[in-house]
Amino acid sequence: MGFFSILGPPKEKRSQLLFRDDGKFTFRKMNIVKTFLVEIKDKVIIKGWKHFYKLQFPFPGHGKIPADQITLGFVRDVVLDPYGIIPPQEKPALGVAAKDNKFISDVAESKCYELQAKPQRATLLERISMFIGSALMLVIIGIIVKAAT
Amino acid sequence: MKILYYVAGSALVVIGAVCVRIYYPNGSIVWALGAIIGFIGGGYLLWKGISGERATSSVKVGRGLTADLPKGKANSLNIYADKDESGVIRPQKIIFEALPEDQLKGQPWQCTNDNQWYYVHQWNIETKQLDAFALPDSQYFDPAEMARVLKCRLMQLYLP
Repeated sequence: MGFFSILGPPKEKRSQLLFRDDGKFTFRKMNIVKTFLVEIKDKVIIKGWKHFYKLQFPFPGHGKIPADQITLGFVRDVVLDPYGIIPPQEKPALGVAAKDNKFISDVAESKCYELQAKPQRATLLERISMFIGSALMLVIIGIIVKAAT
Repeated sequence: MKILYYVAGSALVVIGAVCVRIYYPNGSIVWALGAIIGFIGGGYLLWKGISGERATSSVKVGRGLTADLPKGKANSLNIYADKDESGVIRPQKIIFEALPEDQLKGQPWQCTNDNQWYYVHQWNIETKQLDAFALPDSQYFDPAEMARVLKCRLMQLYLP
């Protein structure tokens, strides 16, 4: 383990070639969160695109754009698959509402399990109680030490 | 062209070395300056020759797969995919290329990384030629909506 491992595991990143509606495209590095390439603003995920390994295109770099495996993206959609490489059952169903869409509900369900698996954080009341208890213990120890000397 | 850079660069480095040899017993500042200019100029020309060679060669983009970098100014961004031996379509490469004017198709797109305009093409597996790239009109799911699922907000809306 290196010295910087104390900062936690490094964020995994991959490049995306994002096509916009206004006739522009951008190469950019994106964080991968739960198999999604995510756009983050103020530490909040604001957009997510599905990251498929089967849809990564090797890119040798150009000018200041570094070489990487590139996933195609589109501002309107979570999947851009111009060659139809991904089978339809692995994509969100077309024209189906979010709650009836198996792809979406699977993501939501896995997120629920992940939250359940996380250790519970202490509530505010528990934290205050712990603080007061610790302070009392220190006072008692101080009194005992003073009495002994 | 690059051989000229190599020859000129090497010549300047040799001149710099000669100046150093003369400077030591002589001690004149002119020879010291000549040595500095010789080494810096020679090094720059050699570096330019090497980097120019790298810019016009092919690079490895995958296992057994190379891509030719553009020799001139790139005018197109091309997306390639092809069928493998078993008939499965696999992504090949995305690359900037300098295509002849008569092969450019569609409308140019602006790359926000360098603010240049490029024609975007997609390799047609059936016809074995580049076609103009077009985005689909069908929408599977909005990326902003997907973010709400990932943030686990209003989860009951997305569960069956």
